[in-house]
Amino acid sequence: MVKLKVLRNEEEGHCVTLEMLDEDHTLGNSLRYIIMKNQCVKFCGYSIPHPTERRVIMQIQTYPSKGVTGLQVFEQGLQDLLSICQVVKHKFSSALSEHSAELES
Amino acid sequence: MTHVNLNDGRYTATLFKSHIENNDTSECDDDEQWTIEIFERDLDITIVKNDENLMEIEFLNIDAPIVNAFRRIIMSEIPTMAIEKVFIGENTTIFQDDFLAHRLGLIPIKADPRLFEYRDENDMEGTPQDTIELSLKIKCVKNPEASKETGVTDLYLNRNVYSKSIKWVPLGNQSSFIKETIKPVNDDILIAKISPGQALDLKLHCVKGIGRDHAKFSPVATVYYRLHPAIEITRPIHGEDAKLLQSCFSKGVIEVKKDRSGKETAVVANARDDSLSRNYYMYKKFEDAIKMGLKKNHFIFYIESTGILSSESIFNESVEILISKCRNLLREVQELKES
Repeated sequence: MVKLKVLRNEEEGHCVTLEMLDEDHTLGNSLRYIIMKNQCVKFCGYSIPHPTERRVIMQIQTYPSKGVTGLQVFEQGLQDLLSICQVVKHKFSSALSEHSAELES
Repeated sequence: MTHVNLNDGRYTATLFKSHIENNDTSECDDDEQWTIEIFERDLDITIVKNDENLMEIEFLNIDAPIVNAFRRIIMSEIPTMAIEKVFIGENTTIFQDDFLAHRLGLIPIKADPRLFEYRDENDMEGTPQDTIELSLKIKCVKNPEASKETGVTDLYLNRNVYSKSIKWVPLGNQSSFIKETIKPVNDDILIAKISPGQALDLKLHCVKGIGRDHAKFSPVATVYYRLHPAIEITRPIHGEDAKLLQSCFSKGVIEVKKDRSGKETAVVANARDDSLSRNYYMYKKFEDAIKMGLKKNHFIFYIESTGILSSESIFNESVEILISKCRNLLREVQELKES
């Protein structure tokens, strides 16, 4: 199933509007947050047009001087979120073993 | 205890009598470009408690959108098995069939959801791969042992129907790939109270589902997070006032100790346990003596498992689900770029 669609791609890719199906605030907000962290990004926002539809619309605008497109920034955001998850996963499991070691001692 | 600086608005939001300051998260005012290396360097995870039903995790240097994503996934996207279809063979109790079915649905069933597949909505039969069959057959009858001689006073058996009466009926080859007997997590959930002669004979089908479809599929009773409180006493409080101040906070937050000159003085002992009631505003004299805030980068995360899955596997699974969401979208971005 295709979940991702580019609704608009304007100003040489510096302004993109994307649609993500079968997603909600869980991914919408965390992705918005991580894209906003990117200094090439001028604006990033998302909306859920209707509460009973599982559909997220995300708009990204980049600084033309930075030379990256909205879609590239979106991809980077996904990549960063993925890395965050891996770091959390790793640190969580070491925290777990630390905790159980503490209990034993 | 970590050092609290309530004056640094980057890390602490300050609570006043009627307003809050510096409540914005650090996401907008970063001078430095965010990188995963910095995140990895700064992030600190500690497990404070890992009991049977409650896990307490502390996250340092993380932001709400990430923690909230985990919370939302745990609540509504981690699959478990729950009773979905109830086939009524006999129901002579005063409870209507639909009412009973709803009650049964909410009972947590200890079965590993990873061993099963999702069942098609229109499938009424089910296969060993996607359905667990349980049965509940019980009748309230006279107790043959009840008499004055034996001293047994219960005149009837099975007045109360408990979840322990629900028995697993393995389908097909299920006993070969399911090692642990499937049963409700708790034996003592009261399903119904029945009268002599009343009986229940039910066939129950459990299916795999997620909390978004129905709360009965949620692996947790609740999952939430809060920010670590920060409390500062800005001028010394002595004597009776110190005791009064202590009573304005949750237990153990403020301690009354003798200071160097031997005077009883209020000190912050454990800000973490405070409920943020800010009851000290009831007394005019304390208004300027206390500064209170929240550490914006310090999250205390609570997972209250229903017992179907352990808290650690619930958290691990939530991380995995977020990873797979990212992977799926990354793949689609790739396809978009190629087309």
